[in-house]
Amino acid sequence: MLHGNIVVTEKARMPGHPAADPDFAADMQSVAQSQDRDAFARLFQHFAPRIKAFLLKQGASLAQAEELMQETMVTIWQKAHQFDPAKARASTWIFTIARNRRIDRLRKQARADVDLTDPALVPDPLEDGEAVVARSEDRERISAAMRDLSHEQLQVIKLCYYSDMSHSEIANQLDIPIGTVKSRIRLAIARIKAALEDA
Amino acid sequence: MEPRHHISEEVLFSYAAGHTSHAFEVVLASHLTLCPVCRERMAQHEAIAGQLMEHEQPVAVNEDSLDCIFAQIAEAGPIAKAPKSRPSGRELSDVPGPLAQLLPHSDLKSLPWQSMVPGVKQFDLTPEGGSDQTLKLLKIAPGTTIPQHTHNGSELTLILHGSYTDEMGRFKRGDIATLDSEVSHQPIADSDEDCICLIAVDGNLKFKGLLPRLLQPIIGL
Ligand SMILES: [Zn+2]
Repeated sequence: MLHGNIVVTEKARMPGHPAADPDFAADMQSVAQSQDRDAFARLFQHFAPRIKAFLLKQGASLAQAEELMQETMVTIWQKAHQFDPAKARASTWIFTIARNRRIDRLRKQARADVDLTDPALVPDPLEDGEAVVARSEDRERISAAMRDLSHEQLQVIKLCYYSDMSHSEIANQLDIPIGTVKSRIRLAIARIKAALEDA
Repeated sequence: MEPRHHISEEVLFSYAAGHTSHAFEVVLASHLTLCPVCRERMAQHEAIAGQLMEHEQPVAVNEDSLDCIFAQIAEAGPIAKAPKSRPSGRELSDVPGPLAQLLPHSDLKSLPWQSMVPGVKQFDLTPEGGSDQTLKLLKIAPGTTIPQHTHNGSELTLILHGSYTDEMGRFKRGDIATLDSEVSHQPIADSDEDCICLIAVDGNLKFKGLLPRLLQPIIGL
């Protein structure tokens, strides 16, 4: 195979990549439309080490994390046409794929999820063009707000996402009252929401 | 019409992160099918999780990782794009897909309901091997009161048809209630139609008072 890691690293440093496409939406679309292996290699270069780190944090062994990461990347290739940059950042969509692969591994039933073509779906209120733009700006504001969280707030948020601990178990783990756990989460979420509403 | 009672922040968080039981997922995904508000909240939670992943300190992958991935892609063959059209035969259903998939057919009223106590019927959907989880549909006749009770662990209730009222308000189609051991309630089916709801539980109801305790083994919620 031509795609060794070294080749990929050099490609990723070429001018025009990836700085011109910081959230990898264009690479996602090249994969979807023309099965572009170079674009896929750039996605791999950026996301694979992070997906693996994320899975390790959730308690996977090194071997499991590598295997699940590879499965996630294969699924990204196969489902790239389902990615809609107007609805989510690539990192959000890739997170959901990794999450679902992990669930598939842990138990017999696949994750139950909403199907947007479901005949029973109650549709979103009609949105004008302005609302759609505002939504994609929201995604940017979420990442800005995340950077502004305090260390303590980020810590509880991470524990919520990485572990299946309840709020009271997190309180035990950090040796703080459960009320503090709940209020840190509330404040962190409120901060992210406030950033969305300030606009 | 949009629901008025939504998924709690803690439960939504846990669903977005992928930590809830299958029984909970079916109820939550069914609510999301009926609730654009929670779909947007869910999208925000997933965006936060995506950011956490993005900001992880990268970990070295195996040297032949990308080659292995391309080999798996080649082995899987051409990509079958999922059809965009709706699956046929479900056009008329008002049962959310995540629930409909578990039912023999999508007409809730003609399911093989089992009587539990006068006025209350159930249809059990608990998956095999789901030792600590329960998933079931309840059909409560108009005017029926479920005795005052609290809950072990936590319970999600989604209203699919009709309505009930309890200490927390009136619950109609699409509304979801999150109940735990802190909450004691006495729901009454308060419209002139059957109230049909989807319930996911981990743990058994603890009934208060003598008569309800006698009912407990029968209701076995
Ligand atoms: Zn809702």
